[in-house]
Order: sequence, then structure tokens, then C-alpha cells
Amino acid sequence: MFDKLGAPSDVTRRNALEALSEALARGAGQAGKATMPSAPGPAAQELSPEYAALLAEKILPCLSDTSLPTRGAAAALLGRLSPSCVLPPLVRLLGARDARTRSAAAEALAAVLRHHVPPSRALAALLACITAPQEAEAADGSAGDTSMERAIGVLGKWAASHIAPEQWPPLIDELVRALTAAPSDPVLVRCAAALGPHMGASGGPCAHVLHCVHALLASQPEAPQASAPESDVFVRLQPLLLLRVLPLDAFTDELAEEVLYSAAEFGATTEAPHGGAPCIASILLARMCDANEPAEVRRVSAELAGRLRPDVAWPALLSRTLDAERATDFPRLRACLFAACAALAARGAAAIPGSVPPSRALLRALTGVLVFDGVADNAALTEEELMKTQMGCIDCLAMLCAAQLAAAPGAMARIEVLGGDSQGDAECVADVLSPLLDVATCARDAPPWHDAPVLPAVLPSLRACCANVVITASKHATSRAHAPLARRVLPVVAR
Amino acid sequence: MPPTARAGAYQLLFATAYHVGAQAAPFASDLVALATRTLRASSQEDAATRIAAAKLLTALLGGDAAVVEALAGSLPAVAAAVRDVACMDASAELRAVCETLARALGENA
Repeated sequence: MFDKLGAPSDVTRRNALEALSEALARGAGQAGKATMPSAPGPAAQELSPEYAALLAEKILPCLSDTSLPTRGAAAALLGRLSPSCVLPPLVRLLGARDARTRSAAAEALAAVLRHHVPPSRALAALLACITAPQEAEAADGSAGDTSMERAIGVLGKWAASHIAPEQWPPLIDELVRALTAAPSDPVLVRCAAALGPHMGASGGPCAHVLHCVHALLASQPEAPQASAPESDVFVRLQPLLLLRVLPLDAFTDELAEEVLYSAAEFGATTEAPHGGAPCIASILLARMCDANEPAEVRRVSAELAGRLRPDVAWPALLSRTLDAERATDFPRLRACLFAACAALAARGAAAIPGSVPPSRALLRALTGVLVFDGVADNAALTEEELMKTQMGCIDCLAMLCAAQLAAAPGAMARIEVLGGDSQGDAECVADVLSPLLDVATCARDAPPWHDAPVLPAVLPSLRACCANVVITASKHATSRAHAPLARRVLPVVAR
Repeated sequence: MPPTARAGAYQLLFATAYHVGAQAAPFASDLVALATRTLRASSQEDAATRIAAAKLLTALLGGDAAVVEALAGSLPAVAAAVRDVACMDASAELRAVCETLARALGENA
């Protein structure tokens, strides 16, 4: 039969493959059933490793056959063989120069994943294969990285349509196990990203992932150890990176409320699991502001804090921003601004609860940094720190402008009291852009929310910052905001 | 408005016109007229402002089809101003920008 696989006639070759498939099925006691190469095949798992390897060796070249039906039959048959013997050559063939071979190899890989149950075992086999050290080139000289990327693509398609809801939890556990064992492996993070949109779907899978993430975070020390090795960065990053692959809706999953938002600060009345460990929101907000955390951990924590539910994220970020500005703690302020920008980028005007306009207190704090001239009086500050923080303020103001411009007409026109600081000036500002534009074009010296006079020495810098806010807002503006942006800016500046 | 603020204002117009695309069409004629006047005003405006005005012209003339269509009537005046500045201006940088713009306008004439 193996000899027939190399016959000149494609009908002969295909018949040989079908005969092999039927022989496999009969060998498992499925005699009498029609040969259906696409059906799950427990028979393949009962083959001896040597025979499975022999079959794989003989059938793999058929993936390069000139006949499409023959390639399809070979792919289906390979899908029934043991993952350990077919996955490595299939992944290599994903990098083949011939497009037909690549396509057939992808089909075979997908068949392997579909046919081997439970899905968590199939995933474990694939992860072990693609995280193994890759050869610099595939069998026919093409790049190994390309084949790995394609394997991850097949993984994503498999996750999209071949995993039942009840099969997700063990699959997620397998992924977490792999990530925990090798937290610095970027390939595993990319695999997680391919699975993210599907395991983050609302309902059971998403809640399970969030519980796993919470368990990992709760098991880590609250603050990193000062003498920790560099590899600890990856350990502290690992649950955050898993959280980052989930879609935005995951952060409003009701089934995971107890691990996401169970803190008094957020109005919760129940304790989080894992011995009352801080909830995910509290951990993110703490880590993003902790100067002892590695920069990468602070940055990813801030990005994720911006994705939290708006009624939790915005008030928490607002209070921390105001505190940091009052304390002239610029690193902490930058973290809060980064999180706020992430929130606005993810949700637009809806990042602010109720889609109300931003508070006067926030705008005053941001403008205060733009006119700050106290570097000489503060030994802990440098000009570079100030400049980076001012750029963060510019970005945040620009995102607020862009969000307001893109909001539905009238949505940002409501003025409501947010319940702000002790001075009681908690009004909201319905139009952030126009006052900043007036400052940039010398129509005024300061926006209306900035109470103190601006020093003449600082005024040119403030005007330049305001111009940069408008320029950055135009970069971030969605197509919905283009018309109002053009109407507000072009004739005003031209005048 | 001080010269640095004027140059900044033109940069602001450039960035906005570039990003809003077709939405700049209703304002394009006025903007081109303004930028062309600034380009010619070598005694009243500094080089940085005039360079920024030339870049605004580039953004508008090279932009969305709706903007270019709105500027059809202004093209001869713009082309004349750009050619004059490319030939005679004291600023090498401004001459270079206008030479490029003049070539583009000449190819599309």
C-alpha cells in the first residue's frame, strides 16, 4: 500500500490513502463503518509508536501531492495519528515554500487538534512542539519563525469553532500550567493571545480565566523583593499578560465580579476568594503606582487598569491622579495618566462613568503640570521627568478632546456634579478643546479651569503644549470626530 | 500673535487638515488663500512661519480628492506664488519646499 502512494495515477494514490484510512478504522474494531477520514479516530491512538511513525513518514510527502483531493485525504489521515509523531514535521511544513504544501499541512494540523480529545491534551502537545527550540530553517529551507506563526494561526481557528464551553476550563488550566512553567517564553504569550478572544467570551470560560489570574496574582508577594533576580520580572508579568489577551468585555464579566472588584473602595460587600486576597482591580491599581515594581510591570498594570469597568476605573484613577499631582509625585502621576489614556482609547467618552464631561479638578491638575516651573526647588525632580510628565498630560488632554468630539451630539453637553474635591468646584467641562485652542492661538493666556495667573516665562511653553494637545487630538480622532474637529479648529485658527 | 505662535498655528492647521481628510474641504479655499498670502509676505513673516504655510499648502493640495476639487479655482494663484518663492526667496529651506511643491503642481497642471 505504501508503494501505491507513489503511483503515477492520482486516483491510485488517493485510493491507497483511503485504504490505509479504512485499515486504521478496522484495526480499532470499527469494521463495517464507512471510511470517514474526518471522524475522530481513537484507532490512531492505539497504534504502536513505531507504526505511527512509519505511517507518518510515508504519508507526509502526500501533503505535497499535485492533486487536491489526495492532499486532503493525506491531511485527514495524518489527523488521526499520534500528535507526538506528526506535530513536529507538520509544524515544519507550515514553513514550506510551496503554498499547496503549507495549506495541506495546516489542514492536517487542524485535523490533529480536532481529533485528539480532550482538547487540553491536544493543546499540550502543540505547545510542547512549537516551544521546542526551532531549527533555523524548515525542511526545504524556509524560516522556522514563519511556521510557528502559522501554527499559532491554526490554533486560533481551532479555538474559534471546535471547543465546547465545558471543554474550556481544563484547556485554560493547561495553558496556565504551560505559562507558569515558562513565564519568559514569548511564544506561549502569543499562543495565549490567539486563544484570548475565545476564552474571553462571556460566561464560563472568561470567569475561569479570571479566577486563574486572580489565583496567580494572589500567590505572588504584594511587593517585589528588592534582591529578586531579573527573571522575576517575567513571573510578575505572567498573570498580567494573560489578562491582557482577554477582550474588553472580560472586565465586565458578572460571573467574575468577586475576583475583579471585591474591595470596599469599589463598593463591594463580599470578600475575594483565596483568603480574602486583594481583588484584581486593587492589585492593578497598586502595582501601576508602586515605584518598586519593574517598569514593565507598572506599564502593563496601568494599561490593564484602564480597561477596568468605568465606574471603578475612572473614580480610582481620578483620585490617584489628583493625589499624585498635589504631591508632585510625577512617576505615579504618569502611571495614572497612562491608565486614563488606555481607558479613553478603549472606551472613548464612555470611559467616564455616565459619559459625563471630565471634571474641572482633573483638568486643573493636568494644566498645573503644564505650567509647572518648580524643578529647581525640588531635588527629586529633573527637567526630563517634568517633560515626560507634561507629555503624559498632553496625551491625556488630547484623548479627552478626541473622546468629546466623537461622542454623540449632546451626550457631552450635560453638566453634572461629580462630587469632587474639598474646594467644591466639581463642575464638569463640556468642551475641553476650545479653551486650549484659544490659548494656543493667543486668544487667552490660560484655560478657564486654571485659576492662578500664568507666569510670563511659562506662557510660551503653555501655548506650545496646548497646540500639541490639539495636534495629538487630531491624530487620535476617529472618523466620527473629523467633521466636528475640522469645524472647531480650522476656521478658528485661520481667523 | 508672536512669530513662534504664528508658526505653531500653521503647524496646527497642517496637522488638523492632514488628519481630517475630506472634512477640510469646506475650509480649504480660505486656508489656501491665507497660506499663499503668508508665503508671499517675505517682509512681514519670518521663515519658520512661511515654511509652515508652505507645508499647509502641501497637505491640502496633496490631500483628499474632495479637498483638491474644492481648490480647483485657486490652483493658478498658488502655483504662481510657489514658483516665485522657489526662484527668489532668501531661505534655502523654503526654496526647497516650494521647488518640490512647484514640481508637483507643474506635473498635475
